[in-house]
Amino acid sequence: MSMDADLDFIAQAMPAFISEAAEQIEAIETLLLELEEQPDDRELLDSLFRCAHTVKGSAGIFGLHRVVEFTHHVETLLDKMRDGDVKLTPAISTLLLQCNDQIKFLVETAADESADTPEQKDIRADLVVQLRAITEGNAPAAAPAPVVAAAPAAASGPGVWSISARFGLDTFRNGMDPLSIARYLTGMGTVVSIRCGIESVPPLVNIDPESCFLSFAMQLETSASREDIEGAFSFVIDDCELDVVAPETPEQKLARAIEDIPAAPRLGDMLVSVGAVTQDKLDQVLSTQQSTPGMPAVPKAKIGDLLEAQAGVAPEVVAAALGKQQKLREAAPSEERYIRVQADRLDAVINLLGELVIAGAGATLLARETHHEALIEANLHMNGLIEEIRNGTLGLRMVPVGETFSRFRRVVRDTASSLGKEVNFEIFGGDAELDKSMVEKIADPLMHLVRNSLDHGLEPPQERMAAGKPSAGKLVLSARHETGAILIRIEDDGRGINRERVLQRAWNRGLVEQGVVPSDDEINMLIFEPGFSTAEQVTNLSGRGVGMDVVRRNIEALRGTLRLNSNPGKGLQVDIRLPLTLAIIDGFMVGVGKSKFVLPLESVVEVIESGGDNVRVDDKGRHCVELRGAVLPVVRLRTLYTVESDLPDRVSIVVVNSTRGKYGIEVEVLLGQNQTVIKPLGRLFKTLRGISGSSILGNGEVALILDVSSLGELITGADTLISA
Amino acid sequence: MAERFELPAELNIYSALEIRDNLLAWAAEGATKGSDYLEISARDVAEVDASGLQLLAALSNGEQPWRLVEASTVFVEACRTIGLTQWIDSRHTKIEGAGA
Repeated sequence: MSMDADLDFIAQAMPAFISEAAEQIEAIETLLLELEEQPDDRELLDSLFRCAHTVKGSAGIFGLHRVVEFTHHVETLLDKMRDGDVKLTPAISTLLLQCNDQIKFLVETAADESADTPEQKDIRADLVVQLRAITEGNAPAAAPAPVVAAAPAAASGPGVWSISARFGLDTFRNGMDPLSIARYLTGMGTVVSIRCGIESVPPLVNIDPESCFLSFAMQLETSASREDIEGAFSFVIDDCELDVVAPETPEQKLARAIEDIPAAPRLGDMLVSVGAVTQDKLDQVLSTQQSTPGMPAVPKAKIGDLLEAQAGVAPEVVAAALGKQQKLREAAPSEERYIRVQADRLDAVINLLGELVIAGAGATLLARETHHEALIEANLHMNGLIEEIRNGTLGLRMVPVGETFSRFRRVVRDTASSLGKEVNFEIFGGDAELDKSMVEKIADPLMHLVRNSLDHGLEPPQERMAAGKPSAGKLVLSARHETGAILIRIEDDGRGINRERVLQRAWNRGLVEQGVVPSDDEINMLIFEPGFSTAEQVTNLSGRGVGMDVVRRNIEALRGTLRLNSNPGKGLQVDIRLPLTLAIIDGFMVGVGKSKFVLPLESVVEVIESGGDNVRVDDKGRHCVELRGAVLPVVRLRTLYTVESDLPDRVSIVVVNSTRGKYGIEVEVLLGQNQTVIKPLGRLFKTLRGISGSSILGNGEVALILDVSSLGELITGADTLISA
Repeated sequence: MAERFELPAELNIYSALEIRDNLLAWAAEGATKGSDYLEISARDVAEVDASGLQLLAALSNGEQPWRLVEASTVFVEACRTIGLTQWIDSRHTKIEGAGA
């Protein structure tokens, strides 16, 4: 491959690297937090090390030296922890979390050297100093105590294992070091002998010093298990020829050796390679097999049987080899369980499928006109299938919401400690699935609500004790599916909403007219009003008077709803209901002249009849009607979008609920409710106000989907548009 | 030509390319002078990994013989751990702190 092709390849693979590294970094964070709770969990520590290793390794492939160098220090510390030299303390955990942030920063800015400001470099240098202080300060001068030997000694007692390993060319480039592996093995027991194989190392003139040509053979006396020994190679196993022979009977030894053959497609070769049968003998047996009369109906004698019978290979050895063959066959497909697909490609497919549904409906209409039974039947069947495909494809976009949730662990931990509060954070229902784009958009509002609970909801420990509650607060984040929607709940056992204070503030700020007392629920919801903040002391987390109204707006933009259930003194429960996908809505279709519009069904409150002349114009030029004694502003779609047609005698007014309150939309025909596939508007119509998308109807007509909240803004804000 | 080649403090993957080039240039110079042995010192080596040791293995697989004349504890420990004792067992090697 030429240099240019290399660079090309790297440039192409870079986004994939960054997204994979981001996953690893997230995993590191999760693992660290879990490890804090279970500091003795060896597996967590191993996974942690593996994640850091992977990041370092793949960064190495992409030549991201800053990432490699920095991660190297982190890895050294993790290595010490694996060796048992360093114990995880809260301070170390915090340091590692900070380091992880730095790795994240380095990966994110991989392509942009200039983003690495002197401040960042200082932070990094400081972290490295701290890391080194721990790794070097605590490093004992003597060889570390053997870790695995201290583990429950296997019943079998120590034996001498033969371990031979030939490392892959990319070992160094992947950030691995055979020396560390040898050192790690040394810690497991007593090394009887070790020899490093340097025969394959090219002379200095020809060598690529970053490729690995080494191998080693070790005799290790240990009571550790095969898993423990192989575990030492877990980071290089993919491109390392590893052979671990247990101190066992000769037959078992052979069977094991077969197990460890990295790839052995043919039974005979497998047996030869471990020395169960000689090549000569195998050839001889093979020729017998070939010369067996080739009657088509009579299957050839099996090579395994022949080897057993003629070459005297022990049946259990042959069985092991056959087992290995079987495993290799099975292992192949399971390796690629995930396919990465670009989100926009998937969207394009979903979009096309939406069109297909529409085209199908059109075809069905035409088929009905022919009154041809079989044709109608065939069309219906086809439509059913298309519907299934579309639902299946929409399902591909679904991801578990848990990934987002677990990100909050860190936030909760850091926030609680900076506020001097204790909190037990629990997550339930992380496997509930939600459209990927929804998951991304819900993360910020959720974060805000979680912070709000920590900051305003949960009391400091003393206050909790005084109120007869346990000193550690409880914060629960849960998700579950409800019909066609997902319910995300944030629940705390803090002080709840102080309604009196909320109301007082709402009066003061003019959000509610002085003296008017709304219902409890309405008072609760006041905290989501723009410009509302009850924090007596402005903290740097929340209480800056911005946020909660934004949370509400964001959730409503996702066509979600927000509900508060406050139990003063006992806690607060915030329920967020979201539709599972943004691609389909339950719509209510209306017509004005020949044009058709779709309203999201959940925003429709009621429909009232109105004579055309019943609509008056108020002094601001707005249309209004009287609804049970109150004045209801009305948008006249005919005027707003200059629909040209004859004015009908009677019109209907659809009363809708928006963020800005109720208002009416004057329409001429009511066409009922239907499921609507949303298609985004083309670039030309992006600036069109009051319209959020379009949908194509079965007969090919286009219906515009009304955006209830921005249409509402047209009423209250831009008078001219309506009076025009 | 310097009498002996001093390996740097960091004998690892980060410096492998550079060490290789330096070592190669130095050895080529030695070859023209017809020295019997190339003399290498690992006195200053403080950090070492397998890629660093591999460089010396590559030197061993070349035409000119070489020997280790001095080595740090870190270097010796690394060679012992990975099983490259043929170098450090040489009688010529003066091992710093080995007797301690």
